[in-house]
Amino acid sequence: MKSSDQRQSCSVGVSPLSVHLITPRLLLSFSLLLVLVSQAQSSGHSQRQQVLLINSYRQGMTWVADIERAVRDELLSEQHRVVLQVENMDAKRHFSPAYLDSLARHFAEKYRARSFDLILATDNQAYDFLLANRDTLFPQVPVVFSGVNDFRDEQLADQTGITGVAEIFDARGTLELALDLFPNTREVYIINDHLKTGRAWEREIKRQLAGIDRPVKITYSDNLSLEEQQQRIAQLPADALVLLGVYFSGRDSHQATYEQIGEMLALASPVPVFCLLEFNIGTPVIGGNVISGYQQGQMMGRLGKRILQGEPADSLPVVKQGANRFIFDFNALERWQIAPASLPSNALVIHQPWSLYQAYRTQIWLAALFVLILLVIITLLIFNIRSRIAVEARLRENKQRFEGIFNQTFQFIGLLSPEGRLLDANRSALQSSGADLDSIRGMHFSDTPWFAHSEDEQRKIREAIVSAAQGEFVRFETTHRVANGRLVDMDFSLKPVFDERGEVSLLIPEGRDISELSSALAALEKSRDRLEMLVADQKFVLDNINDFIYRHDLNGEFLYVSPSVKGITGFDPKEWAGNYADTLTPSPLNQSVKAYTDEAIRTGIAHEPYEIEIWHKSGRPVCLEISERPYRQSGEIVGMVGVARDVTDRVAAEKAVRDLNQFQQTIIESAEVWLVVCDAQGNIAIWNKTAERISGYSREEVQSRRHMLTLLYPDPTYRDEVTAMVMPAVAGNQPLENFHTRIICRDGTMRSMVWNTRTLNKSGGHPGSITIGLDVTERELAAHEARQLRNYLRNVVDSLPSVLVAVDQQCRIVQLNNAAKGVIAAESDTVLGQPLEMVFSQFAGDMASIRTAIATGEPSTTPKRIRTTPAGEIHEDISIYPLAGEISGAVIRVDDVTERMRIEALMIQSEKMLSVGGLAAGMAHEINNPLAGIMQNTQVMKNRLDVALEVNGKTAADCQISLDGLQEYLNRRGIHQMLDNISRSGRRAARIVENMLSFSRKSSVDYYPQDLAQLVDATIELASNDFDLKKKYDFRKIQIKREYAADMPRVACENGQIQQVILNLLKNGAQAMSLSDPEATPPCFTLRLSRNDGMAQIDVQDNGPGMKPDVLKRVFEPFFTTKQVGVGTGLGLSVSYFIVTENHKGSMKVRSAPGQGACFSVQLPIDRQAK
Amino acid sequence: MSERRRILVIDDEISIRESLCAFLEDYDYLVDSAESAEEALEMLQHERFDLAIVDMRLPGESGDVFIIKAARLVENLRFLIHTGSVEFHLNDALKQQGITAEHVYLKPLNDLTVLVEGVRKLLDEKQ
Repeated sequence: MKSSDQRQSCSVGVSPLSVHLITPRLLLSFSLLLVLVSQAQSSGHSQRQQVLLINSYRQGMTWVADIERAVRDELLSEQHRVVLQVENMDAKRHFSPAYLDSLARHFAEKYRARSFDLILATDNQAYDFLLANRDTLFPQVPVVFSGVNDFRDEQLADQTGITGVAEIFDARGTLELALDLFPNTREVYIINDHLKTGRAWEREIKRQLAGIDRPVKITYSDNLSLEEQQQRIAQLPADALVLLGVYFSGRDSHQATYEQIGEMLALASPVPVFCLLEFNIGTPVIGGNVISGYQQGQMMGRLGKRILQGEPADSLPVVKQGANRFIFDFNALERWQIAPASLPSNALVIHQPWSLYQAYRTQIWLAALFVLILLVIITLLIFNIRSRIAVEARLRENKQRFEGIFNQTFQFIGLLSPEGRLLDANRSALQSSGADLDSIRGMHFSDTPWFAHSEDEQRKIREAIVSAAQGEFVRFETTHRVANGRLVDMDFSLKPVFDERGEVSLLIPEGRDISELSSALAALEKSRDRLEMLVADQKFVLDNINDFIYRHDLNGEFLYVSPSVKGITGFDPKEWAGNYADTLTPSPLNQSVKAYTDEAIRTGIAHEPYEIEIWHKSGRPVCLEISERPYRQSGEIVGMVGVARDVTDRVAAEKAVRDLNQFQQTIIESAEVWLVVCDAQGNIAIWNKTAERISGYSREEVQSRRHMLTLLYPDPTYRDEVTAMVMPAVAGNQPLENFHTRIICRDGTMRSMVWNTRTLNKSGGHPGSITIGLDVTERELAAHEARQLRNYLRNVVDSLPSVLVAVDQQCRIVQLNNAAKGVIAAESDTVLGQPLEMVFSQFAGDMASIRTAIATGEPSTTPKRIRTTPAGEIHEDISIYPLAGEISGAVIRVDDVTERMRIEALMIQSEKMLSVGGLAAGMAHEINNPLAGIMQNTQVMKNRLDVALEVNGKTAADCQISLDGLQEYLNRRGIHQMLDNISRSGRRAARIVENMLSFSRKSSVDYYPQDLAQLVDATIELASNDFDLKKKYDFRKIQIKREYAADMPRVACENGQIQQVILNLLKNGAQAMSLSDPEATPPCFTLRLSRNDGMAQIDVQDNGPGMKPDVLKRVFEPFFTTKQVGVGTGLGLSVSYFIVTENHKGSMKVRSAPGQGACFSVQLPIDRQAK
Repeated sequence: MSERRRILVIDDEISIRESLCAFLEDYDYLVDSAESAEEALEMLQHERFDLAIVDMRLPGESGDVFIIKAARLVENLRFLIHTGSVEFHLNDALKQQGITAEHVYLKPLNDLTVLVEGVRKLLDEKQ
C-alpha cells in the first residue's frame, strides 16, 4: 500500500509544476514517472476477471476487514478489470455440518451460472470448506488461501491449482524479544482459549517454546471463565509477563470479538502483555512478531494477481515464512518505556501521533528543491523586465480598443495568463457571477467563483489550462455557478493566444449557456441507464431464480420461457418450446391440469397454485408447483402466464414425513407395550391397541387420566397411592421409572404392570405426559413358580442325608445343602465362591478327579473311602456328577456309609455263623456219641469208686482190698481229680457243640406270644440258681432294678431261646461287674422293658467297668472273648445276636464306654406272626 | 423192692451201651443191651422188659420204628429216648406211644443220674 500511495501523491504533486518554465531536465524526469504510472494502469486485461473471496468469519472482524482491505488494495487498486465477490461464512458462530452442507448448496445455487477465475479463501474454515467442496462447486478454479493454521503440504496432496499463505505464528520470536526487552522476567503466562483453535495454538506454542533457554517459568492458562481469567491475570507477580495467543471465548462461553476480549484480558494485566495477532495490538498490548491480517491478505492478493496474470497456481509454492511482522503500539511502548531503538530494525510502530514531517518527508524535500529552482528562474526573469516595460505601453493602447468589443458581447469571455491567472473578464461574465473584477483579478481561473462550487470542475479547468498553455484549443462542457447560486451548463473553450515567438501568451476562455439542452440530454441518459439496469436486473432474476416463468397462448404453445427452465427441467428455452402438455408424465396428478388451465382461460380467474409432474430431460420425474393466470391483450384473454417452481424435493420430503408419521403411528399402535399419551389437561391423546387389549377399556371409555386411574384402581386407598406417585412425574418433576402396580382390568382380572412415565417436550409446546406400561403378570407368575420350585428343590436337596456340594468349573462352591453345612458348621453365605478344598479339606485329594469329571463329563465314584475323624473312622462314598448345560461344574455327593458298612459286616458275620451252624449240625451227632461215651464212662467210673455205693464195698471185699485204702490211694494219686477233669472237658466240648448247633436255623421251633416281664423274671430266677454262676459270683448280692413299661404287649418268640439270650447277658454282666470294686460301685443290673416303634425292647444294663471301643466293635463276633481261656467259649454273645437277629428278626445293640458300664438292647418285633 | 425191674438198652455205640448198663446196674436194675433194633426185638420176643432206653440212629431199623414195633410186641413197655441226633423231633407216632419231651435225653448227658431219675419216675408211673 505504501509504495503505491507514494506514487499517486507524486503524480498529483507534479501536475501544477509542469509548466514550460521548468527546465527541460526536470520536466524529463517527471515525465518518465508519468509514463511509468500510465503503463501500469494500462496493463490490465481488457476482459473483466471474476474473483470470489470466501472469508471464514464475518465482515465485522478487524482480521477479516484487514485481509479484505489488503486484497482490494492488491487486486483492485490498479484498475484491473477485476470483479470481487465476497462471501462470509461466519463459521465462528455457525459450524455444524448441516450448516456447512446448506452453505455448499447455497453456493451451488448462487453461482450456478457464474464462473470464477480465482477463489481466495481466508482462514481454516473456508480452506477446509473449499477442500471439501471445491470439486463440486468450483471445479478447475485456482484457489489461493491465507490464514491457515496447522498447514501441512500433504493436505494438498490430491489437489491441484491451489496455493496460499500459511498462518504460522511466531511465539518463540515474540517471547525472545519480550524477554530481551524485560530481562528481569521470571514468569511467562500464556493465554489461549480452549476452543479448537486455542487448543491447536497451545500445542504449537509448546512445540515452539520447547527448546527455549531462558530462566523463566512458563505457565499455560486453564479453561477458565473470562472473569476468572481476568482475576488470574491480575494476580500475576511483578516479574511476570503475558503472551496472548488466541482467545475468543472463555469457559463461560462469553463471546465478543477477538480484539475486545484481548483488550479485556490485557487491561486486567499489571505486567506487560505481548501478542501474536496484529489486531490485538493496542494501548494495553505491546505487540510482537505478529500475524497481520493485512499482511496475510496482501500476500494472498499478490499470489492471486500472479495467477490472474497467467502464472499457473501449482508453480507458486505455499508461503510459510515471512507472513509475520514485528508490530508495536506506540502508546504501549511509551507506557513501558521501551525505546524504539531497542526494537528490531524492521519493526513497525503503529498508532503514532501524526506528524507532518513524518508523513510527507519526501514531499517536503522535493518542495524545498523546487523553491531553489524557482529562485534561479526569477533571477533569469529580472533581465527581461526592462524590455517588457516598453512593450506594455503599446499594449495598453490595443487594450482600450479591444475592451469595447469585449464587454459588449453576450457570451462569457475572459483573459487568462498562460498559467491560468485571471487577467480580465467581460461584463457578461462578471454580471453572471455577481463578482467584482478587482476582487478576483489575479486569482487562478479555477479558483474563481464560477467554478468554486465543484472540485471536479476546478480540476477540469486546471487540466484544460495546462493543455491550452501548450497551444491546444480545448473545448469541453462544464457547469458554471451564477449569481443566484444556480448551476448553468456551459459549452466552454480555452483558446491559446500566441505571441510573435510562437509561444502562448494569453488564454481566452469563452463560454456559452447550454443548460436547457444539457438537462434534456441528462434526463434522456438517466432514463436509458435505468431501463438498462431494469432489463439487467430482470435478466439476472430470470436467469437465477429457482422458478421459471412462461407464457403460452391459448393453444398451449409456449411464447416465452425464462432461461432458468434449463436448471429445472434440463431443457433450454428453445428445446422447451412446444405444447405444455408435451412434457407431462402420465401421473394421475396431471389429469386435472388441463382442466385448471381451460377453466382459467374460460373464466379469466386464476386457480390456486397446483402441482404437476413433468419429465426432466434426463428422464426423471420433476414435480412443479404452478402459479398461473390468464393474461390479456386489449382486454381479451390471449394466453396464460405462469411461474413454475421445482418442488420435487419438497414433495419428496412431504412424502417422507407422511411415511414417517404413518410409521410412527404403526409403531405406536402395534407396540407390544401399553402406551398412553396425555395432553396438558390430562386428556388421553394416545391409547394404543395394547393398552386396550390388556385393560379391556377403549379409548372412549378411559377419556382422561383421572378417569383411567379410577377404572384401573377401583380401591380408593390404592388409587391415592398410585396417583401420588404418578402426578409428580406428569408434572415434570422427575420421571417415574419401573413403577409397579396391580391394575384391575375391565373383566375384573388383576394384572401386574410396570410403568414408566415422563413429561413430553418439557421445554415448550404441549407439556403432556407419556406413560409406557409392560404387562408382567405372566412373568411374575413364572417367577413365583420358579421361586416355589426352587424352594421345593432346595428343601428336597436339604432333606437328603447325603452331603451335596455344587461347584463351578473352577471348583468354587456354588451351592451346598444342609448336610454339607453341618459338616463344615458354617452358614452357606460365608463359603459360597470359596475354593472347594479350602472349605472341605477332606476333598483336597479328590480335586484332580473332580476336574477330570468336569472336563470329560463322566461321573465318577470313589466308594467306601476311609476318613479318620476325632470320633473314629468314617466310611464315605464320594460321587462326582459333572453338570452339563449352561452352568457347568459338578455336584459332589458324600454319603456316610459307616453304618451300612457295619451292618454289612454283621451280615457277613451272620453268614459265617450260619455256616458254622450248618457244619455243627452235620457233625454234632458224630461228636456227641463219642462225647457221651467219654462222659458216661467217666461218671460210671466215679460212681464205682464211690464209697457210699454198697456194691462197691462188696466188690472190694471180694477182691480183698480196702475200699477206704483204695480211696486213699486214688486221692493221693489224683485219680478222682483226673476223672473230674475228664468229665469237665467232656462237658465243655458238649457245650461247644451245643452252641454251634444254635447257629443253625431252627425253622420248626414254635413261637408263642410271651409276656416278656414274666420271661425276664424267670430268667433272673434261673440265673440266681445257676450252678456255675453261683459258684463264682453271688448273684443275690447284685441289686436288680426293674423298669418295665406298663403297656408291654405280648411278643411272639421262642421262650427258651430268649431266656438263653437274657441269661447270657446276665452272666456276662455279672462277670464284668465282678471286676469292679464292689465297695466303690455296688453291682447293679437295670432291666428295662419298653416299646419302641413296633418293637419291644429289652435292655440289660450293668454298671461294670464298661468296654473300650475296640472291644465294643467285636463283642458280637464268634469266638471273640476277653475271658481267660476256658472261662468262656467266645460264642455266647454271637449266639445271642444270631438268635435275636436271624431267628427272631429283631436287632441287638450295645452301648458302652470305659467306666460307664454297658447296656445291651434286644429289640423284637411285636406283631410277628406266631407260627 | 419186690422184684428187680428189667431195662433194655439199645445203642450201637459200645462205650455208651456198656457204661449206661453199668451205671443202671449200680442202681440195682437188671439191664440187658442190644446193638440194633432187630436184636432188641428178638430179645423182646423171648424175655420180659419193663423199659427200653433207645438210641435213634441205629444200624438197620431206626429207633423210632423199633419203638412202634416194640410197643405192639410188648404191652406196657416204657420207652426213654437217648439220642445224639440234633435234628430229632418227636413225631406223632411216638407221641401216640405216650412219649413226651421229658422222655427224650440228648447225648451227651452231663450227669447220668438225671437219666436214672427219669427211669425211676417212669417205672414208678407204671406201677
